This record gives sequence, C-alpha cells and structure tokens, in this order.
Amino acid sequence: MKPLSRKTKTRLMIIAFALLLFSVSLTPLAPEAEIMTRLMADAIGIDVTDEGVVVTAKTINSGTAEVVSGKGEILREALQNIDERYGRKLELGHCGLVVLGSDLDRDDMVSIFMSILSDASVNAGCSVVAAKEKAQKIIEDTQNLPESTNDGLTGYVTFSDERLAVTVPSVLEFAQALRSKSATGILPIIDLQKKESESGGKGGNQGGGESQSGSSGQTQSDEQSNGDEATEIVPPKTHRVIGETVYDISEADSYGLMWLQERTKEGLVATELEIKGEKFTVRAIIEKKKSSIDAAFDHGPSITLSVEARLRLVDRYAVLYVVEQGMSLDDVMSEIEGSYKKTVSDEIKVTAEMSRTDDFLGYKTYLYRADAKMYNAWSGDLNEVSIKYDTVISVV
Amino acid sequence: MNCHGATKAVFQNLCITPSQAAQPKNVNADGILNQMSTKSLFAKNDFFCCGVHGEVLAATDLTDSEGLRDMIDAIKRADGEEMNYDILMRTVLVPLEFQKIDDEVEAIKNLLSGDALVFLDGEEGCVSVNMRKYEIRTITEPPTSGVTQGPREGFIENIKTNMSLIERKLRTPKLKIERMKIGRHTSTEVAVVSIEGIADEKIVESVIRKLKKIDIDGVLDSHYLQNYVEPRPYSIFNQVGTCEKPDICAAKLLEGRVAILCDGSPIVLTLPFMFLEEVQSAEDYYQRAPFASFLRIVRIIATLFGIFLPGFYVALEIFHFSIMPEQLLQTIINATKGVPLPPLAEVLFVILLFEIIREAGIRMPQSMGLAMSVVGALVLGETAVNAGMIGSPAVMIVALSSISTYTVPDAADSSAIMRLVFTLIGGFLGLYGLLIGAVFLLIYLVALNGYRTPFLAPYAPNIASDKKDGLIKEPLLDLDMRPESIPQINKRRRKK
Amino acid sequence: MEKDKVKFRQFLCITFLIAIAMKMFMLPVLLMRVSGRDSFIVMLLVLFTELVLLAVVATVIFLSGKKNLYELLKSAFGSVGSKIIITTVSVFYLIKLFMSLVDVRIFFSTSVFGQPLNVWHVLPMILLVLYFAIKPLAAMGRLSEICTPIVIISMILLGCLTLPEVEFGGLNPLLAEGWSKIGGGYTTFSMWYGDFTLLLMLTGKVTFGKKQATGSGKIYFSLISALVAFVFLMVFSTVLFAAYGDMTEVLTYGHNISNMTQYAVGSYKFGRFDLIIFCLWLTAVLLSAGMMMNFFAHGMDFAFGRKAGKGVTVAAGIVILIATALFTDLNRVTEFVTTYMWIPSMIVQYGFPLVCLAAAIIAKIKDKNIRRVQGEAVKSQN
Repeated sequence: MKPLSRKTKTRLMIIAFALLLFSVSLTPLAPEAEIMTRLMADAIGIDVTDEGVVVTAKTINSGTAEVVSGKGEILREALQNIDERYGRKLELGHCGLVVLGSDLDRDDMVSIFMSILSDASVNAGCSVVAAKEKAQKIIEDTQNLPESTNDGLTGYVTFSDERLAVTVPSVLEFAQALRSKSATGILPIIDLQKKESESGGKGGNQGGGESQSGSSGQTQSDEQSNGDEATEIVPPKTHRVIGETVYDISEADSYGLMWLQERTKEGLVATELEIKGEKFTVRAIIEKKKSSIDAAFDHGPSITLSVEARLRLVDRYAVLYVVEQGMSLDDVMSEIEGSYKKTVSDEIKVTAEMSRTDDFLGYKTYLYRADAKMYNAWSGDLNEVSIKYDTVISVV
Repeated sequence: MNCHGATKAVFQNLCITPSQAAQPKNVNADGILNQMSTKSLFAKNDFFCCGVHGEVLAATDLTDSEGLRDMIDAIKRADGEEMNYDILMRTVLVPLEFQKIDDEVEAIKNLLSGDALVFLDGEEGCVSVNMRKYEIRTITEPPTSGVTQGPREGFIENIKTNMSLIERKLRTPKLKIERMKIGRHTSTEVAVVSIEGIADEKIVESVIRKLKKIDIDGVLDSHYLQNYVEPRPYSIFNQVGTCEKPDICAAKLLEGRVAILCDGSPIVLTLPFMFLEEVQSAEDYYQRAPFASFLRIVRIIATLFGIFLPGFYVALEIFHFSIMPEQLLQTIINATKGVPLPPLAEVLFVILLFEIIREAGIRMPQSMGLAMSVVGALVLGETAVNAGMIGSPAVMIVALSSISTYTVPDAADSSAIMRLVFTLIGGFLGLYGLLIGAVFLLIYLVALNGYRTPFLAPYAPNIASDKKDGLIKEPLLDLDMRPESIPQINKRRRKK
Repeated sequence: MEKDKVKFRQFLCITFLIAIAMKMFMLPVLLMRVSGRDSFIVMLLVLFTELVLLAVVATVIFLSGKKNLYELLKSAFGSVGSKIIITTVSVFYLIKLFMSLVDVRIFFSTSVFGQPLNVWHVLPMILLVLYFAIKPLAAMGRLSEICTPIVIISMILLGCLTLPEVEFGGLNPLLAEGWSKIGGGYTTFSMWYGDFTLLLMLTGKVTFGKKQATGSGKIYFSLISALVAFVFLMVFSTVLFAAYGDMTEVLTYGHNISNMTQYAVGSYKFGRFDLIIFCLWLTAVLLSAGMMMNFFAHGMDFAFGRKAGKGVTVAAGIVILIATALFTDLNRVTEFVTTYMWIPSMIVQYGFPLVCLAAAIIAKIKDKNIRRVQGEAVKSQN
C-alpha cells in the first residue's frame, strides 16, 4: 500500500485531534459550568461579635432569593465557612452592596476592606453603607421588601446615590478615606422597619418564592402569606462617622454633608423666612450644585469650603402671594436667596465644626495634599485650622 | 483550439501516445468511427456533390438533426465542375460556423462536442461544422445571488450562452478570451476572460499556464479548476472569487480581474480575490451608498457573530460569568437549570442538530420538505428545550450564529468550520483561548496572498484609496480609480 | 507582497503597540509597591527615557539606509563580533518573552479566570509566538494595522466609562518623601522598559511609499506615535496611582491594573465588560511577544545558519514551555527578575541601540569613503 503523503498525514492528525476534542466535550472531562457551583451574592452584611466575624449574604439563584451566613475569626474564614455550609462557593463579583454592622470599629473595617481589595473578590465600585444595628438583620429583612422597592436594597442604595441627596461611597472610596491622613470615613445609615399590613397579603405579591425569569428583584417568602409583616427601607438621612471613635450624626447635622459632598446633585431644601411679619417655609430643589474643599498653609493651616448652588423654587404660589401683598418680585427673590444662603451656610458650619473632632470631611488629607512638608511640620491639631466659607446661592 | 504544435498533455487527454501523434494520420470517417467504443451513437451519411463522393459524420445525440439534413441537402444541391474543401467552404457552408481540421485528434474532439465532420474523397483532413444542439436551462436568477434591485440574469451550464452574456455587458474590442479544453475524458471547454489594457498580463498568463498544466480525468464544474489556480489549495478559506451573474462578472473584469468560465458550470471563477469581495454584494452598486455601507457593516458583524458567538457564549458560561451583567446571568441560570449536558456539549449538540436540519432540508424531497422542517424546528428545537434536554439560550445563540453565517453565503463553509473550532476553543480555554485563536486566524489571513493581492486588503495592508469601496461604500461618482489592491495596467476608470 | 518589509504606516502602528504592550498590565502595580504614588514621576521618567531610546533607534534606521541590522553589525564589528552581539540580544529577548508570557498568564489567572493557568494553557501562547516567528515581517506589519484601531477604540471606551469617576486629587502630594523612592522604581523594573530596542529588527526594512527610500527623516514621526501611546498609558496608570496612593500594601505581584482600578465601577450591574476591552488591548502584548520571538528566530538564523537556527528556535519554544511548567510561583519569578535581571536588562536594552548607532555611523563613514575612492578612481581614469 502506498504510504500517505506528509500533508495527508498532517490533515488526518488535525481531524483526529478535533474529533478527540469533540468527544471529550461530551464526557465529564469537559469543563462544567462554574455558574452552577456558585452562590451569587447580591448584598453582604458584615458584623463583628465575640465569636469573630459574621458574614450574611443575600444570594439570588434562579430568581429565588436566599440568605446565607457564615462565621469565622477573620473575613476570609467567614466566607470559607459559607462555602462549607452550603456546598457552593459564594461569588462576590456581582455583589452590589456591603452593609457594615454597628459593632465594627475603624480597625475592623480597615482589615476587612484591605482583605476585600487585595483579593479583588468584591469589585471596587461596590457600595458601602452602615446598618443601624446588625447588618445581619438588614440583610435578612430585605427578603420582605415589597416589589415596588427598586430592585431590592442594592438597587435602592444605587438610586439613593444617584437621585437622593446621599453620597454612598464605594468600597475603594471608603478604603481610601480610612487609609488617608484623616483616617476617617463616613457612611450613610440604612435601616429597615416593619410595615403594618392591612391583610395577610398586602405589601407584595403572594408568589411561592419564584420570581419571573431574569429578575433579580425581591421575592416574597412563603412566610409573607402566613402573616409576617412586610418591611420598608428608612431613607438614609443619618450618617455614621468611623474614626478613632465610631458614632452617628443626626439628620440635621448631616445637611451640611449633603452640601459639601461633590456627588450629591439633587435634593429638596427648605428655608424659613419672615416677610412683613408672616412666616413662610419656602422649598426649592437643587438644580445645579458645585462644591469643593481647598486647603492651604497661609499663616497656618486653612480650609476653604466652597459651595455654589442654583435652586429652583417649588413653592411659587408662596412667592406670588407675597408679591400680591405689595412686595416686588426682585425683593422677594432677594429675600429668599438671602435666607437660603444663611440656611446653607449654617448647615455647612455645623458639619464643618463637627469635623474638627473626627475629620470626616478630610481636612488633614486636603492639607497633606496641598503641602506635605508644611503638613509634616504641623502639630496636627484640627482646632488650629481656620475654616473659611464661600457660599453662593442663586434661586430661580 | 489549434493543435499545431500541441503538447504531450493534449495528446494524453485523448489517450493517444506521443508516437502516434508525431505522425499525422489521414483523417477519414471510418478511421474515426472505428475508434469509438459505441458506434451507434454516431451517424455517417454519404453524399455526392459535383461528382465527388463525400461523407458526413456526426454524433446523433449532440447535433441538430434538422440543421444537419439541411446542410447535407445544400451540399448535394451545389453545382459546379469540381468540388474541394475551399469551394465547399466558400460556396455552401458560408452561413455556418466551420473550421478546417487536418488533425485527427482535433477532429475527434470536435465530433464529441457536437460538430459535424464533412469529408470529401481525395481531400486531406475534414471540415468541422458547428451543429451543436443540446437541451440547456433557461436563464434565471441564481438562487444564491438574489437581489431586490438590479439585473437578475444568471449564468447557466452552457459556456457559449455564458460568454454571450458577458459579451453583451462588455462590448469592447479589448475583451480577450483564451479557450482551452481540459479533461481527458470530458474535454471540457474552459475560457479565460480578461480585458486587455486593464488586467495585468502576468496574472492572465499565470492563470492560463496553471490551467494548461492540469492533467485530470474530467472537469465537471468550475470548482474542479479552483484548486489548481488558488495559491493555497489546502486552506479552508476561499482564495478564488465566484459569481453567478454576468453583471458581477463584468464589474470584476473591469476592475482588472481575470474570469474563468467552465462549460457545464454556472459558476464563474474570478481572480485575484480579496476577503472584502465576500462582504460586497452586487446590490450595493444598485442602491444608495449609505444604505449599502450599512448593509456591509451588518454583514461583517454577522460574520463575526457567526464565527465567535457560540464560543463566546460557552466561554462566558463556563469561565467568565462575572463578565455578564447580573440580570442576564440570572436569566441564563434560570434557563439552563437542569440541563444535563455541560455547556460545551450542549452547544455542540445544538450546532450538530442545526447542521443536520440544514443538510436534510437541502437533500430531502420537496414534497416532504415542509413537514420535516416543522419536525426539525418544533420537535427538535422547542420540545427539546421544554423537556430540559437543552437550554433556550444555546438554541438562540446557535440559531443566530447559523443565520448570521448566511448573510455572506460564499464564506458560509469556512465560517461553519471556524465556528466549530472557536466553540471548542472557548469551551476549553475560555476568553484566553478565543483571543489566541483570533490572533492566530488574523496572522494566517494577513499573510495570505494570491496573485500579488493581499487577502485582507484594503485594511491590511492599508490602502486608503480602496477603502472608498470597502466596508463604507462611497457613491459611484467618487470611485474614479480601480482598486490598487489588484495589480492592473490601467488604474483610472474615468476622468475626474 | 514584499515579505521582508514593512510600510511606514505599519511601522507607526507597531511603535504604538509596542509602546504600551509590556507596560500596561503589571508595571504600574509593581512600581507602586516600590515608589507609592511617586510612581507617577517614575513613570514620566521612564517614558521620557523610552522616547530618547526611540529617537536613537529611529536614527539607526535613518542612517542605515537599505542595510539591515545584521549587515550593519557585520560591516562594523565583523562576522564573529556581530554574531556574538546578536546571540546575546536574542537570548535576552527570549527571557523577556518569557516575562511577557508570565504577565499575560498572571492577568488571566487573577482577573479573568480567577484560578491559575497551568502549562497546558500556556502551550497555545507558545505556539502562537512560534507561528509569529515563521511569518514574514509584512504579516506583522499588517496585523499591527488591524490591531491598532481596535486597541485605540478600546482605550477610549474604557477612558470614557471610568475617568469621570476618578478623583485625581489622590495623586497628591508627589515627592512627599523627596526623590528617595524614584531611583528604586526606575531601575528595578527595567525588564518592562526598553521595548523600542526591538524595533531595530526593522532596520533597512521600512518602506516609504512607492519611491522606496529607507532612511527617510519621516521615521521620526514614530515619536509622535509613541507619545500618543504614552499619554493613554499615563492616564490609566495615574488612575491606579491616585486610587491606591495610600494603600500600596494592598497590592501584590498578582495584581494588575485591571482588577485594582475603578474600571469595575458599576460593573456588578453591567458586567465586567472592561475585561473584554482589556483582552482586546492584550493583542498588543501578543504582537510584541511575537516580534520578540521573530527577532530570536532571525537572530539564530544569522548566528547559526537557517537550518540550525530553525532547530534552535523550536528548542527555545520547548525550553519556555518547560520553564513554565517548572516555575509555577510567578511571584517568585517576578521577584527574581526584578532582583537579578535589572542590570543586564538595562545594559542590553539601552546599550544595544547605542552599539547599533555606532555601527550605523561607522557604516555610513565607510560608504562615504568607498564612494570617494571610487569617484577618484573614475576621475583618474578619465
């Protein structure tokens, strides 16, 4: 028999190799879909107890939401514990939210975030919030959120960052704040409260735990139909400062934060003014806002807090009423602008002064960036810092 | 074909040994008839003309019997004192297409092609008269080159008709046709067509030389010739252009290409070839330029989809689900829950199903076609998905990929193989493998040249002027130069 | 096609791709571990040095005319000397090729797969670079023409998606601790610089339009091409430096610019499509690796003859594969290279162009003398 030519032999080898690959693909040797061996975490909560770190994760698989949890001495161990308990690896790549419990101090958070970032398991853009009390409770209660809530807690937090006057830091931003010269971070506080239901079914659909395909939104657990109350999110108006000490600041004290954080672009603001003996509450929405914090060493450390905002009145009828009383429109608008400027300045001042204690506005960071040499020579006492305010408000 | 100085190869085509060929035989009807295995296929008629005895030999199945009878009558009626071939050709055969032949080999070839051979006693050689008549298909629109606007004529299996279609498009004295017969037992007529003064002479000569060197049993279709003229015959990629329409062929000739027509085949080969030709369609030149550009971009995207989509999907599902958005991820998890096969096997299985349905759809009798298509689509597709045998994303991906490959039908064969290869690569090596594979493919394609024309021109190498008729097509008003990618003599189509 | 030549436009594309190839994955992270946020200054210095290096390479190409690299070295240093030089440089590029494969391997292991790639994964990459080695220069030029727009579009896309979110203020303060960190960063990672030395393989092979004129001053336009690449590189590196300036201890050898930056912002919703964009960017690295192998292959052909050279090239591929199997701890490999290879790397990558420049000048002088002598001979005959 005539021997095969080299070209024919090569072609036969290629075909044999392709057939081999083809047959291997039909056997267990072919790679399985890793997707099926993972628990997709949508949000995680981290608490610290006497026993160590507790991680609670809300997972969504095949449209069903479930809460899983694990414990360990450190974060890695707690995550490993979840893998062991449920027989599937917890996948954090699609996690959109990290909730930190009230019992975590700065050092705990630093070690957690350094671990998260060095593993790159959670992506750097994931949002971080603080829980009113236990993060575990928040994660568990999200099961009972009504369907009208935008895509669950994660979606709500994203919405808050974009549309409400709340700046939600990302994992990277928060870690940067903790590791900066200021060594202080600030987080919005999230809480869920029970919502009274009128009947056994109000507050959500009565599905048996299955949601429509493609939705990663909330589902109602079977407990819902048994009479458990639905929960709703408390809008994040308060904040938690994480510095040398950890404490919460009230809604009123947080207003200035809203003005000074660059990312907050929207919100409703009110001011009270008195015209001809009559008191009016005037409301406006923020149409445009620009803020900055500048630092310098001019005869000592100084910080300038600049806010420039344009507000659009929503209570136009109040203005018209006053105009009808005999005041000119220009005068009224000027009064309103003046009132808003005072209100805004006062709010900023409150926040700015609070930041002298725990530097959550990052004075030290800005001073260090402005002049490292002078910073190193300075004592570091924030009470020495002179704070200037530059507030420009226009009302339309 | 002129046999004077014929080469050994020509004689071999007719199974005649060189020693026989070296001594020209006396051409006579009986001698020729004795060489035929089935004499009943041929008819020999005697006649007397001006006192000279003669014979007409013809193949009964290939000749026009009425025309033959008329010719014989005309010969018999001829009056004169003497008769020889010169007088015959000048007086009787004037309205007919004829040729004086002195060589027996050539005479046999012409007889077998359907010519009638006229012999006169006492004269050397014979006269071959074109009496060919066989059933041919009517000119219709080709099935693979359908257009909504533009001419709808297509080539058929008869080379003479095809030549006439081209000649009607290109009424120029510069139309150069080189004819030859290839195939030992088929003597298939092949014509190499080019436009003198436009096509590069070296390319034309090279093509003719390669065709003349062919030593083969028979040529039944132009694709038999393809392997002999393309630079890399073992490659899976087309390196020779094909067309089924005379307007496309004429356009390619006007750009400086060479066309090869083959009797018995409606497909005309064109050289040199670039990948861009597969993305272009004749209709692009009969529509507005922006729409044509849009369609070309759609075709190239579809081709990329066709090749890479299944592999990409498999890679994402197995290795890189983090790349997918969360909602899509959940949809896929829902849809693939409970599917018994691993993703790679699932997609390969669906590809196999599609190929079976496609192939069966072409081969099965028309009467069963509709019913079986329904079976294929519904039973195999929908029922299998509902039963959880395969997932709906896999079906959707493979269906989209299969349809996409047919937006460029000429590249469908290589696309189908590439699709399989990249699916396997994606399944075993993920995105990394796809990247390596894609770079491998690109390197191979950029290095592919044929007749001094780069395969990926005008994008690699970059030829700016040719891009006017590339993925983005400019209006005909701006296309005043011929493609630089193709070697030609005359670069300018028209004055500016 | 002129198989052994690249067009000027292709030369610009190759310059652009080589400029970013090896510097975009690991280098910014590695620099940060040594120099912190001052890596910004180090990067600027490195890129400036690279531009100077490119200017030297361009001058060699300009002066050499139609002579290729081997002819140039041979005429200046003789057959034996030139073979020694070429062999040394070729072996160096083989090591550099191994390092670039390590970088790619680390990128895919950490960012794309999430688990280490084994030797069987590396085999296709080695086959690819060997395939490059047998392909003519024109093929590489054409490939660069296809890859360059893809890389540019992917970088612009990535920039549009991520840059608005970045706080560049984090880059300050620069030089807070003086220049102490700059020297270490500049020298330690020299293996990741000096890529333009590879362009010397195109000496005498760059055509400038139909009127072939190797040695046209147009070659200096490649500096602009490199500058554009460096702008992109600086922007993306600065994102990393600004974000991690205070957290350098988070970074390890396994990290790269992709998984450490804010490119993943919002990606939990939209998916890590930045990884796909990075994979497109990776074609530059593969082209660069291919060119290194091509340089090695041609160097071996020159040093040992065609047949033996081919055998050496194949053997080199096998050696890389074996090395991949043996050296599985890529952190150790990177550490070894940064500790022991930085001096040889600087010598070869910065010294070789100067050697070639000297050779080009010597060759030019020799040609002038020959022409003068010939001219005088013709005059005296007349």
